[in-house]
Parts: sequence; structure tokens; C-alpha cells
Amino acid sequence: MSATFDSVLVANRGEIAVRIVRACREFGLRSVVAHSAADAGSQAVALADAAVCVGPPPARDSYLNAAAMLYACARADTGAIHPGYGFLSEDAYFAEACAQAGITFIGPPPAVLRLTGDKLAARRRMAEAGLPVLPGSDGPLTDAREAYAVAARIGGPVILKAATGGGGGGIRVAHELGEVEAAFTAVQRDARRTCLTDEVFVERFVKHARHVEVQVMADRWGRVVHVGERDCTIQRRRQKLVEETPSLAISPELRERLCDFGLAAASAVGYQSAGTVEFLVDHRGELSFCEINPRIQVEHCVSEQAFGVDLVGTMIRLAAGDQLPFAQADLHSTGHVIECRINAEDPARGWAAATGRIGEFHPPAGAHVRVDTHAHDGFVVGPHYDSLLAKLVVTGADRPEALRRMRVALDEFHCTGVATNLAFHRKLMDHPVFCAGEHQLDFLERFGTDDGGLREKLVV
Amino acid sequence: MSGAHPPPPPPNRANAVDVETAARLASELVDRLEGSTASHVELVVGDVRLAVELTPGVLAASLGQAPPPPVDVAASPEIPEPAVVVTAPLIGTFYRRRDPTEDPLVEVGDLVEVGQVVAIVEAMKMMNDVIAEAAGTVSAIHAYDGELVEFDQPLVSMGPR
Repeated sequence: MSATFDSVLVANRGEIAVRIVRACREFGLRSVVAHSAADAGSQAVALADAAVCVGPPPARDSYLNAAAMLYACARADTGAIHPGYGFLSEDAYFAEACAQAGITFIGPPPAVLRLTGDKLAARRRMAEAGLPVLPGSDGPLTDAREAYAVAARIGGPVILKAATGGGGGGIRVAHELGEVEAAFTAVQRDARRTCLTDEVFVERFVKHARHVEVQVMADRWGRVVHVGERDCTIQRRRQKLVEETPSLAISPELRERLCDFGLAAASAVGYQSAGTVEFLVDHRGELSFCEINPRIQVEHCVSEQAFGVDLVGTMIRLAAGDQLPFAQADLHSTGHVIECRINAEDPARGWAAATGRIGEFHPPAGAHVRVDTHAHDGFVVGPHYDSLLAKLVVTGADRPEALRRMRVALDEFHCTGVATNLAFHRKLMDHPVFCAGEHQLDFLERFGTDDGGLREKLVV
Repeated sequence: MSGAHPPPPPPNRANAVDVETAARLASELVDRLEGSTASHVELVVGDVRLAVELTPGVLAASLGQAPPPPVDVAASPEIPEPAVVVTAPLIGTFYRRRDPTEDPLVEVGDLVEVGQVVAIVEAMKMMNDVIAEAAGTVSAIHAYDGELVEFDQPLVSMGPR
């Protein structure tokens, strides 16, 4: 490795901090975990070479505090920062500040983050690059009346989005024209509170769609490869619950087109590092570009298992100036991989995040099973951060085998003291529509019950 | 060894034990409740009732009305006045002086009043006062001038006046 740094500050927490520390250890890099006061006893801190407490538990004072992270780098004498996902990972200002401080930001360059952070600008760039985008507004909408006019021109249900929103926030669907103005006002209000700008745009809403994304990896010399697709159609409140590869929604021809679009999208923005290009696939197999996620994703393990590559380690090597360690022809997917996100949440109470102290935590193990987790017996799920406890990733020769193994693994998964979605996942793995691979993004609205269960058939 | 049953503890002593046990259990309970969604918990040990109210992010414990906690000075264990440790309010650069030409804000042996500035932590060119929240005599200074300190790092220890 032509390393420009020999140590990495992990500016994140939870399972991804553990994942990054492990990658550092494998490459002989000194790892330092930047943590909040609530995470002083975390597994990532225990595994790392050193740790720096950057602030109190609220994320805005610790994990979102860019200045504190740079001070932590100075204190721990680390030459690079891995931001993980969420928090500062997509913050162009932070990436810029790292560059100015002479610290390698392990991710794409600031200019790429600026573009991908503006969904409207990204949409325009993708259309110019020849990617399919949904009919929608060309620029930001000025007011609710313009939103109405564009929606009327598009026809049918529309989706209104905050241009600089993320993580499933700042999004409303208007099923009829009469709902457009209220949806515009709501999204703009959300955007003013939580986003960098209050720009809002509108696109056609695809009712019967699946979420399929392409994993890309790019080095600083413009070499780009894709690491296949992931189908992330099972979601609740626009948050992914289950991811798998390959996707059942696409034919081999469509897969080739999808992956080519992923490569074209990465090239069009001058992408570097690991990234994901998200698409919607409608029931006729039409593709449309959604957005680019310029970071490592929660569900990266699915691709790692299917392709036998180390995406987090590769990301670090690329940041150190290495060329891509594999060519497209080297990358082959084998079998079928499914990931279930095990969250501390209560499906019976509107998927509310659950907190408390875990009693016993026994994740499954064995052949074909990978568990990425930071939880353990006695682990306290606090109110400050997201509810992800573990990612259970299972591999099979084909989907039926992967499903069978996932059922066994879920059955073995034992977690007491805090509400989890384990029971939901167990039901999902037996659901006829999911097992047949016929589910779409509205799966939970159609088949979910108020008590957190699933009905097998639609009640007419 | 007489082999006889141990005598029952005197009433006063029992009360003191209850209070001690309640206090210990309460502190364990508060640890366990951190991050929980519970809003109200009651703990009864012997004659002592302890109510814990939780508001998000804040734990406030209060001793119940009935029965009133026994006031028995003689039975209370001697609690030494604890040492106070002033910690860093944020990550940044620790300074003992406001200005390089000035004397240090405090030296070992200095008497410090509540609210007195004992050090500075600089971050992003902002000088943040480090304030003593209790009075005492400075017994140790743990960081050196110009040290990059982490959040909550002990900076200054103070003993009783």
C-alpha cells in the first residue's frame, strides 16, 4: 500500500465503527475511535488502539461536531478520518476542512459531496449523462402554485423532495393534485428545519416499484467498477430493513443496463471511493435514477459476501492513493445473500425505537452466517442514536437456500430486555409474497398489521 | 462461638441499614435506567420509599414523604468531603493562562470559589472558560499548558477548603 497515512480516526460509532477498526487492524493501521461520552465503553473503543472522547452524548455535540473531530485527529496524531455512514460522512464542508487540515478524508472529494448532496443538481447531471430520470421539475420550485402546475403537467401521483434532504427525510407523496400544495408546504417546512437549503422539487411517484442499487468503487485515476446490485425493497418509513443480492426484480439484460448506468453515474460526477447509485425499477422493468449515496452503506456486507471483496478495506486503500485492486473482470457474484437489520424497535408500536438494557444477547453463528454487531450482554440502548443492533447476513447457493438458512439463524438469535424486530423478520421470511419475490416498496403498507405482524393475503 | 441466634438488630440501626441499602440500590437502579423509556420507578426497602422520576436525558431521584428519612447523626457514617475534579467542557487546547504574559489562573494550594475560572479550553479560536462548580483548594493540575484535551478529561482537582 502506498500509504500516505499510517493511522485512522474512526469518526463514527456502533457496528460500523467496529467494522472500520477491524479493517484498520487487518492493514496494520493504527486505529483511534472518536466517541461520545455515552460510548466510552463501546466495543469499537475496546478494539481500537486508542480512543478520544469528542463530546457529550447528543450527536450534534459529538459525532456531528466537525471541529471536535479535527481536534481529535490532532490529539491522536491520525492522518486520516473514516466517517462511516450517517453523521459527517456526506458533509462537503467537513471533507473540505479535513483537506485543509492535511487529513485524508476516506470518501469522495468535497466537490462530489456537494453535487450528490443536492438531489436536484445530481438529477440534472444524471440526465445530461444519459441516465433515465423521472419526469419532474427542472429547477427548484418557487412556491406551492408552481408545484401544482408541474404536478399537473406530469400527471398522476407525484413525490415532493427537499433538494438537500437525506436519510429518507424531507419527502412527501401527493396521490392527487389536491394534495400537492399541502405536501409542498410540509416538505419546505421540514427542509427549513433540517436541511442545508429549503429548495423543493417534484418528480413522478412510481407506485409499484422496487429499490435496486448499484455498488460502485472508483479510484483517483478514473477507474470505476461495479460490485453488483442490492435489492432493498423491504422498507419501513423509507428505512431499509432487508437487503439482498441478486435482485429478483431484474433480468440479466436489465442487470447489465443497471450496472452500466451505475458506472456512468460514477464517471459523470468524477466519483472516487465506495459509493452507491440508487434506482427505482417499476413493474414493467423501467429503470429510473434516484440518488447517489456517497459513502459506505449499512448494507455493504451483502456485496462483500456475494463478491468476496472487502469494500471497507478497499475504501481505505483507495484513500491512501492505491489503484483499484480489482478489475471488472475479476468481480463475480456467487450464490444469494440476504441481510436482515436487527433493530431495537417495536413493530407493534409503530416501529418506535426502543431503549433500555439488553439482558442476554446471543447472535447466531455457523457456516454461511455473518453478524456485524456492537451489542452484547448488558448492552445499553440509549436514546441518542439509531436503533441498529446487528446486521445478520446469510449466504446460500440460491434464494431458497438463503431463506432457509436465514430462518434458522433468526430462530437462533436471542435478545432479551429490549424490544426488537426479530419476530417481524421471522414472519417475513415465511411470507408468501416475499418468498415468491413479488414484494414492492409498499409491502408493509399492504401486508403489515397494526400489531407489527404480517397478513398473508390482502383484505379486500 | 455460642451457637445462639444473632440478636435482632436495634431499630435505629435497621433504619440506617435500610437507608444505606436503598441508596445503593437506587444508584444501581439509576445506572440501569439510563436510556430506558420508563418514566417513574419506586423502590421500597424496609421503611424507606424512594421515588425516581425520569425525564428524557435527566434523572432526578427524590426520597419519599412517608416515612420521613431517619435523621440519626450518630448512626450516619462519616462521609469525607469528596475531592472535586473539574473536567474539560469540550475537546480543545488547554491553557492555564488567559494570556501568555499573565500568571496562571490557579496554582496548587490556591483557594477556589464557586464559579471561579480555573482554566481555558480553546477550540476554533474560541476561548472557553473552565469554571469550578464547587469551592475548594487546588490539589493538582492534570493537563499541561497547550495540551489537546478530550471532552470530560480531568483538568484540575480540588480538595476541601
